[in-house]
Amino acid sequence: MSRRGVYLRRALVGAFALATVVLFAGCASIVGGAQNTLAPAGPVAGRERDIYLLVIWPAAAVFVLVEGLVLLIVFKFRNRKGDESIPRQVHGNPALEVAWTVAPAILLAIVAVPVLAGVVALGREPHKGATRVNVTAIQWLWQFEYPDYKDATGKPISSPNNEMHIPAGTEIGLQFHSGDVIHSFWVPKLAGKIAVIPNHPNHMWIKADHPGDYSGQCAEFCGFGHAGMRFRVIVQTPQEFAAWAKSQGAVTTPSTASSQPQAVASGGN
Amino acid sequence: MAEAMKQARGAGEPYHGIWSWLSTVDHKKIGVLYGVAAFIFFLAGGVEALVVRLQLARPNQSLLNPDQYNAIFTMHGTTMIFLVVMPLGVAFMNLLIPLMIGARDVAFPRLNAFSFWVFLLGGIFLNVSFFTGGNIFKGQLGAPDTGWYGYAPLTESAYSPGTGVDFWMLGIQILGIASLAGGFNFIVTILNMRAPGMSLFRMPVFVWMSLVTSFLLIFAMPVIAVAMFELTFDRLFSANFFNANAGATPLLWQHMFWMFGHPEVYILILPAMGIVSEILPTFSRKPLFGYPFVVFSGIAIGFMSWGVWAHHMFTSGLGTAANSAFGISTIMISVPTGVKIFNWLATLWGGNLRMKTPLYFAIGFIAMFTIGGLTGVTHSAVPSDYQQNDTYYIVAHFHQVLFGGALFGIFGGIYYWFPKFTGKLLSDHLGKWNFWLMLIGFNLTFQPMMVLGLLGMPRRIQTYPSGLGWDFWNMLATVGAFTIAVSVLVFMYNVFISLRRGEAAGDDPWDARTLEWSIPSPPPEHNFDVIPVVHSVDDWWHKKYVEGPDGVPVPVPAGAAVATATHGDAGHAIHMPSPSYFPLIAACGLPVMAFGFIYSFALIPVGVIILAVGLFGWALEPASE
Ligand code: HEM
Ligand SMILES: [Cu+2]
Ligand SMILES: [Cu+2]
Repeated sequence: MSRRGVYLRRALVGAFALATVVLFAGCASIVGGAQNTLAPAGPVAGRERDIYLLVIWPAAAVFVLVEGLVLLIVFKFRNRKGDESIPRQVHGNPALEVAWTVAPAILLAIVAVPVLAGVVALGREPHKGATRVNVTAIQWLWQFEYPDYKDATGKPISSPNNEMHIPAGTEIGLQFHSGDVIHSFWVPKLAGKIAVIPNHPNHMWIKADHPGDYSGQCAEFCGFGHAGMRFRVIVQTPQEFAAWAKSQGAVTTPSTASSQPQAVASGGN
Repeated sequence: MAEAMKQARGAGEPYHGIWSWLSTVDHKKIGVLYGVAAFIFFLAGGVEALVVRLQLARPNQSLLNPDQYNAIFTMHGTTMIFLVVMPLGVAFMNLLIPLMIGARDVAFPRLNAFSFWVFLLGGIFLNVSFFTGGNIFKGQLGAPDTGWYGYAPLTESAYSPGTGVDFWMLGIQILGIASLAGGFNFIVTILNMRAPGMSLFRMPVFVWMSLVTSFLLIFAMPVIAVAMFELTFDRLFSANFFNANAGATPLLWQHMFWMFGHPEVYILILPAMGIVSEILPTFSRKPLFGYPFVVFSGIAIGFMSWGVWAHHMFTSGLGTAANSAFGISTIMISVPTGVKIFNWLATLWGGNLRMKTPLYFAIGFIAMFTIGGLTGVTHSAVPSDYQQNDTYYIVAHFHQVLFGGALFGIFGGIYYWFPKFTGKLLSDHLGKWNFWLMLIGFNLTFQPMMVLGLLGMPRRIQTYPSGLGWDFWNMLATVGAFTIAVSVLVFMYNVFISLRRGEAAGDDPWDARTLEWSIPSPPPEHNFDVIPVVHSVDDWWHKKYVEGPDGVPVPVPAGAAVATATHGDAGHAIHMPSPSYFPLIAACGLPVMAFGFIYSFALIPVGVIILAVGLFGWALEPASE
């Protein structure tokens, strides 16, 4: 091998060693993370994570297969010095090719079943008894209104901008409206995103398992202030939530009011 | 390259130097022009990417303010898609299609020149927008800032009052004209101008993929054209196609954009798949494994790409029925893609792999594109996409397919065909530095983005707070981006040094299989002295080798192969289309009209007149010198 070839090889080995060290160091930083989609805190994000993991294992297997074959081929069939031979001219093998067309198709068809079940489960309308929150997005903030909780004048109470309060362990029915351009509502630990589109009211149900403070962020590019369009979801125990609602002026609550008909919703995940 | 190309021209050339380039209708020179122009745009888009990565290297930075950041990421995406990867594919189509099918030029040489000039002027028009936002030296950038897919109603005048979006919609409109003309030209060329004996199923796979790409172009560009027209009417004449305040449903834009946008991603990748399908057989010294499967899977991709657009809209709230249907169709489109991967691996299997730079890039393509295909499958699993959509996970996916796929294929193609068009080999040693730096840089840049997406980092944010676990990965991605930049510098140095003192290539340096290697490097203006008669796939290879009974080929006795590729001087008798300035003149009319829409309607008739003069001159020009 030429001297320059040796340098190239050394540089490569060095780079790979460095990459390994860096990766291990980096892995330490993954643990935790307030917007970690792989550490869900509710059934919706949980289901999404499960489907991701369901797909990622067969994908990882295919990855190992293909990359393994690439490495094997390169080492096994690389030209040896002085070998000018011409290999056997294989033009194909229809049976084999049909096999590697049909096998992935079957594998994917199997994967499709839980995917579709997930689409249906996550896209359904919120249940009747769910705590309703009307979410409005405008450039560049979030507003939350609680139609089931009304103050003395009969107006729904609202939470401060960019701060949604919800009770833990209860299904929440979210309705989305945009006051201007398209935004996207995203609380990674509770649920994947849903676009907030003018004239296209979307809905989504979510549920938080435990009280806590969850971080959310607008996920559709919406102009100058997009990066700063962050919000918090404060999940409280039902008692704390009821107390909070009172403190916001609620006099009518779902338990006191006769249940109103559910708003008609279009679209949804 | 100019030097080499000049030598390639026969005597009797009416124009010289730069004039010969401005008036050329030769598909090879036009291919070179496409390649060089797209590469310059690649440098611009690359610098934009580096600036973005600098801004995001650490949390809470303010190297760029949000206005600047938004303009730069928008121009980066728009440039890389429309001004780099697409035209690089077209550059190869121009250079190779006529040579591979045994033709002397494309079907409509002047239309071909027109396509190029329209593309170039459209690209310049788009970039001029940078200077229209006030004082550029104070960092006031006038470029569009609504993202490469510009979701309405953010692009409406009410929310984007500047001229940036005007430049974007009109620029893409101009570029669409170039693509349409190119698409028709290539389809007619491939269908009508094949050498005798070259049936469709004897065409090189690159030509097949070009044919599919061309059909996608002519069907996809009109869709985006309509969308852009509607936006133009909204912005300039107060129409209400996407004006939500007047009751419009802006989802219409998303449907139209992605109905173009998904076929578009295959427009970007299919030429690279074709390139790889040429490189692998040559360097493993075996035919492509399962030619019909590779061709049919390409055609299948072409059809299926029309039925998956709403996978870009899984979180738009289309309802469970639409999400299920598009989930399934998207899951299934990965099948024909997977077929190709296995066929390529089988091509290599059992070969005698000559480990030259083109093969490095082609194998790199397989290895990296596979990652992109697999991440694609993870977001075709719809509920998992609810998390991934609009995050850095998606950014990772499409760079895996577009950089790890399309660009790796294209770089492989440059190393492979550079000797054919310049007569000089690129340095293999520098090529390997180029490859390894790019491979390492690519993985350092884009694989951390998968982690970032999973950790909840949305795309298109100008900055981010620390404490979310993102800092480390962002820094890594920035380091990777600069590694890629170094690899590109190595490439440029390689081209520079090899053009000056590269090894002479000879006609067929790689002992290749397709017709372009049967003629001199660089090819004469008329390509083939004698139009070849084709008897099989890989016809040139079969002129050099005959397959023995056990499938092991033996060289044809010396002399026989050369005899079929006579380098006579029959060229003098061959009629070639004469050069013309009219395509360039006609093309100039379009940006003038576009400026007119933005600044003063009075310019529009001026543009129309220039266009008309160009077209009339073109039509009335005598057919030969
Ligand atoms: C195995 C085949 C593939 C599958 C299953 C697939 C799937 C997807 C899906 C579902 C999305 C939307 C994700 C989202 O935004 O939430 C997407 C985005 C994208 N894909 Fe693919 N993809 C595949 C191959 C490709 C190829 C070959 C290319 C181009 C060469 C490509 C380019 C893109 C681009 C550019 C985007 C993002 C557009 C944007 O948001 O800016 N994909 N892909
Ligand atoms: Cu936003
Ligand atoms: Cu797509």
